[in-house]
Amino acid sequence: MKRRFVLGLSSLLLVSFVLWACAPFQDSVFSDSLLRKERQLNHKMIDLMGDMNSDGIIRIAVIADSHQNYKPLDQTIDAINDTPGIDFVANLGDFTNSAYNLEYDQFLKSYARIKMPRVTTIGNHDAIGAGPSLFKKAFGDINFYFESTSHRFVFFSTANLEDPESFKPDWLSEVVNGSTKPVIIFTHIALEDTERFSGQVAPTFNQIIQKAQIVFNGHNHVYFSRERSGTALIQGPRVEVGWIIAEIQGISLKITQMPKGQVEWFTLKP
Amino acid sequence: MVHAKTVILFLAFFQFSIWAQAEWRLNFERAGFFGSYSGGVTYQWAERHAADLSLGFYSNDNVQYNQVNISYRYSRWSVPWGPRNWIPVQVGIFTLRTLDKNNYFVRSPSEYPSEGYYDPTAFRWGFLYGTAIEFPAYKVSVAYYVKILDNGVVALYNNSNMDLQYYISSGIGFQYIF
Repeated sequence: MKRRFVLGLSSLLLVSFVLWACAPFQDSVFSDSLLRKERQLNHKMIDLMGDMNSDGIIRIAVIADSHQNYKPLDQTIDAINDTPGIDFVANLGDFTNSAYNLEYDQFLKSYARIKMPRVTTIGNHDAIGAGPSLFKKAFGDINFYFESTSHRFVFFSTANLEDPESFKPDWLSEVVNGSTKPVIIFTHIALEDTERFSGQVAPTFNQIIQKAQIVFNGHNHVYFSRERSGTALIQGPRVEVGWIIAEIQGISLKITQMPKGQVEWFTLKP
Repeated sequence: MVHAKTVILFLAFFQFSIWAQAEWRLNFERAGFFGSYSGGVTYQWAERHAADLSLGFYSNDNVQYNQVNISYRYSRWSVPWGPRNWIPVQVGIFTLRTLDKNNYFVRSPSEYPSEGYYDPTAFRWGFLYGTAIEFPAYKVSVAYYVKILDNGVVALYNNSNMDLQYYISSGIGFQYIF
């Protein structure tokens, strides 16, 4: 009896030690404390980007809406890592369910496995709770853009209800209209979403869509494409369904739905 | 108003513990999902059963907020260890409720597109595991806890690149025994 008690206690001590060894001191699930050390990731990744026009084709891998589905996210990341020639990965947001710090941490761990430059926009699910503060810590500015020699790439928050402070249609309008290069926009929610964007915002977004060359969005979890005023509007699927490769060469856009391999071509405005 | 409700809750808890002639304690804890720091009361109505109520402090975007923590702990064994008592295993459940009503909610607010658009974010629950040493001569006890959140359990199931550390938290607890 005594031997069993000692054995039991020893086992418990071992379990305690193992748990202690891997359990950090996290203050609260409601706080904006991150355990991961990555900071300002979007800016750092943009600095790492090489000349994406060097071979004449810009290849972008687009992922969206991973939420807490880390298994398909990891599988998608493996597939992207195995795809040659990707210039950068664009994540269209909703990589959490409730924007808790532990969800940001777990996503960052998976995200770190992507071998090429990667840039993320905020989704509506990522912008509730402590989300905006967590996003700024981990990724940097919520609205931002960068340029290659041929294009301007704009990442814009469409979480108008969740984080109104960061929702800046006028900023988007200035950045799009002020560009001398064709503009590609990455958002989480489609700019023509009438459930979200009405009143004065709708005509602003309509004008922006007319000016942009391509607009990518996620949010609705399925692949969908359409053309409006000569602008290609591409909706990325959630990672459980797949991901897409966008290849831009001159005024032609090739969209490949992965893993199906189904291809769709668009002629872009100059 | 929120703080007034919390104080009333604490006073009611104190009154109940005195009425029940249960052993009661003051508790203080660092981390363990209960806040950067938390403090409150514990009452132990039987040798193996105890409950804690505490107010935790955390920050979001450089603003301090509070959360209410409630836990139940079951301690199967108490082992005399010289002048001390060692409680090798404590298991239990806990719940957390933030008092920040601007950023968190129980029911998805009406400004969102549809009812139930988001899952509740203002409270969570989970399981705890711990061990403690009591120093009766000094009327104090020290405990170490490991806690896992409910959504962490779901995420662990859905994650092939599993990293346990993001869903569990260590906590160090101190209690003053009256």
